[in-house]
Amino acid sequence: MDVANLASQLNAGLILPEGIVIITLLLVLVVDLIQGRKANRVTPYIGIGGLLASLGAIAFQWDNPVSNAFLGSFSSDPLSLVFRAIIVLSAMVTIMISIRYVEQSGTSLGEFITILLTASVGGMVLSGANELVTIFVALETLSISSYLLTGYMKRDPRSNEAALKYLLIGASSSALFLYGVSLLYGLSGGQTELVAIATNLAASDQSLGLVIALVFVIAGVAFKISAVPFHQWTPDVYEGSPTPVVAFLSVGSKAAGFALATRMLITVFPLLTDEWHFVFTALAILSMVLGNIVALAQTSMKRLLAYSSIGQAGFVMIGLIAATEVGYASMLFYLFIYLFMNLGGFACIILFSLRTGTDQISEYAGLYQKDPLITLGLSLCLLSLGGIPPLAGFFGKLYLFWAGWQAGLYTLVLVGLFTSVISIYYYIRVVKMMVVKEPQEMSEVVKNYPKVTWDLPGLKSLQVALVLTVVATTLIGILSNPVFTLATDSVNNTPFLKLDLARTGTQPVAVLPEAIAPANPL
Amino acid sequence: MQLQYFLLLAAALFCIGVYGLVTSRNAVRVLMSIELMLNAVNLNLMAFSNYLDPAMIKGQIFAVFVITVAAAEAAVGLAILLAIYRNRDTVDMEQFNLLKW
Amino acid sequence: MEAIYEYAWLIPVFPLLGAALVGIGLISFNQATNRLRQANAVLILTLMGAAAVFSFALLSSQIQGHEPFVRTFEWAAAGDFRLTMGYTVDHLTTLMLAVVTTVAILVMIYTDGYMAHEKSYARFYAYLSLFSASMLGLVISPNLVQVYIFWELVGMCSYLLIGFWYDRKGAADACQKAFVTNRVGDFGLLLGMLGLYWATGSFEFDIMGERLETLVSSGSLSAGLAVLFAILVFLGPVAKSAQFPLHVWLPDAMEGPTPISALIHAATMVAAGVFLVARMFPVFEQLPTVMNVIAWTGGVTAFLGATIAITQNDIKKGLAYSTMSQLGYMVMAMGVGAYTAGLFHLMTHAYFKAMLFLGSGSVIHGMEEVVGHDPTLAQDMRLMGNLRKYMPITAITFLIGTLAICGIPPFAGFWSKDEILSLTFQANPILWLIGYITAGMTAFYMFRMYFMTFEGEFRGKDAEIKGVLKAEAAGVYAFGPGAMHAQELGTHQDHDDHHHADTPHESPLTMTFPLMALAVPSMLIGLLGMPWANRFEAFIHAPGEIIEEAHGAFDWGEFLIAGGSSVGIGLLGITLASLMYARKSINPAAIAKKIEPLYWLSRNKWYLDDINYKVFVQGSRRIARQVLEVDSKVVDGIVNLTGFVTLVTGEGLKYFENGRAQFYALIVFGAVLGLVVVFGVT
Repeated sequence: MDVANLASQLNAGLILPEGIVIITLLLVLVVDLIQGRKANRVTPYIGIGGLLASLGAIAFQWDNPVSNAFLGSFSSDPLSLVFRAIIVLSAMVTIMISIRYVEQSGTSLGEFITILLTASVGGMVLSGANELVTIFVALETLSISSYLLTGYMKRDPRSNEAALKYLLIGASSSALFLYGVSLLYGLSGGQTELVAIATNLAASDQSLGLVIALVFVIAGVAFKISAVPFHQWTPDVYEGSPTPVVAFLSVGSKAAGFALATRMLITVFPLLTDEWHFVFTALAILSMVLGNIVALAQTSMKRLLAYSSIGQAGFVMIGLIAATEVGYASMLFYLFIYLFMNLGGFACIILFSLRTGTDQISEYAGLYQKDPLITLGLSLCLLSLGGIPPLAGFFGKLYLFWAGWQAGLYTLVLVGLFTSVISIYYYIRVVKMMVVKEPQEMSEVVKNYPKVTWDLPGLKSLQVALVLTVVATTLIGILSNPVFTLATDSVNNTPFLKLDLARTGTQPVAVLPEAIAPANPL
Repeated sequence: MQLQYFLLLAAALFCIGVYGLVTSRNAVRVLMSIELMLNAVNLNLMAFSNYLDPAMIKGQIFAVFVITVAAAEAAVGLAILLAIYRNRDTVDMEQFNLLKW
Repeated sequence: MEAIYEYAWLIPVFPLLGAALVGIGLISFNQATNRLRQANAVLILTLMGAAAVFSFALLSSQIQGHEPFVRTFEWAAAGDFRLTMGYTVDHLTTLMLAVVTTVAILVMIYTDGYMAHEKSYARFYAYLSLFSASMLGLVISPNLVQVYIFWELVGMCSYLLIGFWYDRKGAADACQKAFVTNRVGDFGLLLGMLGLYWATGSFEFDIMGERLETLVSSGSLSAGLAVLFAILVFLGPVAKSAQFPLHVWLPDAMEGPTPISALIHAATMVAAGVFLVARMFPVFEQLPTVMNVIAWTGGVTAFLGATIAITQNDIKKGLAYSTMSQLGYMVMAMGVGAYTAGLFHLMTHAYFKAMLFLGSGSVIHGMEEVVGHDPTLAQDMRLMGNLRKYMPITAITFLIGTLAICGIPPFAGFWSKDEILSLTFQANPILWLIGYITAGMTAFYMFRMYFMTFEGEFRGKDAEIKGVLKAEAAGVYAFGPGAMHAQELGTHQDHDDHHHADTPHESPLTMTFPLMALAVPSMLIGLLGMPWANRFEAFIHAPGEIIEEAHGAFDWGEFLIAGGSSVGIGLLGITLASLMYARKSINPAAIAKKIEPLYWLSRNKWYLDDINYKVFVQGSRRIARQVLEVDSKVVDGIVNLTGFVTLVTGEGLKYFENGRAQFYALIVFGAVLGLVVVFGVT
């Protein structure tokens, strides 16, 4: 195999979106080095521009029939494109809402953006990675950058503590994941590509080792999507970290986790489909119940959203477990709208904490009179998260529950319905706090609310991000169908999902393992 | 020598790592325990590579990546620990509970 | 021709745009917008006019035999779950569009005069426009979900408008009552809708009907269940069209400004119930039980409304009960399968009842100049009389409306009512008898109303009657569920002192013009539906029904008997009314004395409000009090307990989050171990 031939087989063009982000982050780093403090006015926009370009590259690849690159290590199928788009978008919005926050804290903005972009590259590669080493390296790129971001406010002991906790739990889960991966390598007789592993595993007989590998891999994935009981870092880290970082973790990092879960579990473990569906069902129920119930008892807005994101992850898992075309599509759809509603919520919280310096829910009392924009934005986003029609969240949940019901996951859907009622309670509590209170019930902070201005550097982009996300949350609700069609298309055009759907056919999921295992040579 | 022995050693090492991670009060020891777990994985990979995949030796390459990433992780971990030590004057895990409930 | 169909969705959008523009103006530049006053009205009227032109273009196109047009797009779809939205233009739609837009325009013109001195003039127009948009949206909806959405929207506008004078206690109470009553119906509708969807997998009217038929005939869906769903759906129209027993809100809704009563609570929104029954006809048609329920509900309502209307002294309340009674006719017609006749009556009624209401508004407007802005005085017919002399146009148009509703040929009401009655006779003679007696009573109470208001002597300055009325108002209202007390009413009396005039005078042209305009269809529109040349039936008929071209063999004898008898009973009622209220040769009070229990039965609305109050309000209060002990410990307990347990669980579980990273790691390892063990064991 000569070099030219090899190079043509690599299809390196498929990682163009990642390449653009890498170039952008290098550019940001260099500009920051050269210009110093002055660079703060330029670097965020370089970052946003780069991400936009990357988004363009992703859109450009949509109809690309070649989906395998680097000899099968990386696949740029429509599913990975959707996940990469979600990650890029979340990084973009995060930069927009972080400029003012980081400047106000007195830390370097250029470095922040560099690390954030590195994390996005990790997430993006993870979405398409098809080989164990690539998966591991991408996962760690995302994780380590996230640890750094979490501890970015290095003079704040809470931020330090959050970073340490995140690092410890993160490292132990990646160690678990890695152990599972090493077992996979062994059990498959020395393969690292997911498809090859699956083929070799099917040839060998099912053993306890495979189950252990599965559980260990799930532990690593569940940590990323913060599913109960692998969730406990979430509230602490969310509370301690800088808020823009939390915004990214809750959307970008979580989407990458779901990408990994979808690709790896479906490709590698077709033999153990029932086992992993069982585990995920348990995780989903626990996440929905615990996330939503504990959220009731929270007093800090960031912790509230942390538990809410745990509950939301539970809802999204329904789509994954449904394992039907509609199921996967509704999972993508929900993650996509979750991007807007959650980031919109965080934009409002950041704006509020920039103006008042607090995150306590009780301090939001009576905000309506002082700052209608935050109130409106936050209310819409929270109501959407709670699934109130006609906002996007309602349709997201409708699709998920519908897909679950069709697939026969009655328990899951009922638990989902019940817990979303609970969730509405705590979301509405915040809205009520802001809107209904009489002037005399206003919190002290709101009474001394500063005059609303948008003149400070970085506030404009925050405002733009806020308005855009809130508009998207509302509009996608009314016009959900095109987006959902897009999600369905991406599921239909993704080879490994197509294979999986063909394999399971129209069979309901709850079939005994014996019924499937011998019948499937794959 | 058989493959099982290596695997058993790796599993034992992993468990020791887990034990150390859960029980150590000194944060540096906790980080070292994590290294232990990752090295157990390396052991696994090397063993598999040697016995099952001597031609392509993918496991060995994987191990190199793991070592590299582990180094990065340790560096970041120590950096965070340093920052926390500056702020709190302690590396005692029991003391790090500002964030709870 | 296609172009107007392509853009038919603009019809509801035009008024919506008007409402939005004025609404935004009111929110952002309140004072400036309010100062513009008539500019707002002109804007909204122009847009409404555009919608009307559009509607008539569609109507004429449909009359010329254009194919019905449906345009849908998928609003939400997942797997085999499809939710489509869109619009449909067919015969029924265009008819309703034409009726709604004409009435809406005339009411809007009228409003300018009626609300001239109101400070919330612009807000009122915005609401009116919003209502029109929702109503037009309802009419063009192609499926049940969309109908339901607009159904709720028109309901919401109706509450907004009933409670327009929210500082009046009566208005606030009425608004609440309308809301609660309609919730009952809407909940039924929602349940029925979901049930039908569960059974048939569709929200489209005709598909629903077809599939339901197959399901029931193949036995895969029990007929009982199908009937239950259909009746649940019918609960929606029962509430919205003020059918017994959910009719109680409609008379109270007259607390709203009179243009609202004319537009919403006479011509359009209340007819939405009948419209929905018409749309759901493919479903109802196959279930004879449901059809019977519908017919009897309509019949009972028609009779009940008429009996109560006989003794009402408040002109608007009288008209409200008359509306209820006429809606009963329409529903009854639907129930006996007289699809065309029901909708024909809907159309004629919309015109003449809107005119009657606007006429009553004109009367009230005139009276207010004499007795002041107190609804108990300005709306009471005992204070009126001889207004024909002062308000000739109002009087003549009112008389036309009265003749129309009484079923005197050739006015509109005759043709539609006669058709309903003759078709009912074929289906169910008992119902026909009820309808027939009701027709007599209708003639009686409408002419009673006319004579009391426009003939005799003007009693507006009679202090004695005023005193009686005030005392009575205090007494009567104390009964009512609104629990309006004399003291509360007293607050209005402060305004009474500045009487402008001793005699009422004719209303301004903006108010009389709509009256005159509406008089034309009230007189003539019935001619469309002459039984021997029924152009209306050729245009509107039940889906699937084939109109036989057998008009040549029209049975004059039958028509003359049926028509003659209904005219006869109408004339009988009129004569009685004129003897009692115009000639005074029979003293109504004496008759009332003789049949006192009946008189009071009617006067107090069959005590339905009181029964409602006693049984549902007081009864539930008493029961509540009695079981308070149990309640607080069991029912409340369980409800609170669930919430409490959830909260406590939340509080408790959050302490698992003890802040120690190593504990978290332990849980992670524990969970992994646990999962491995679970799989290892199984």
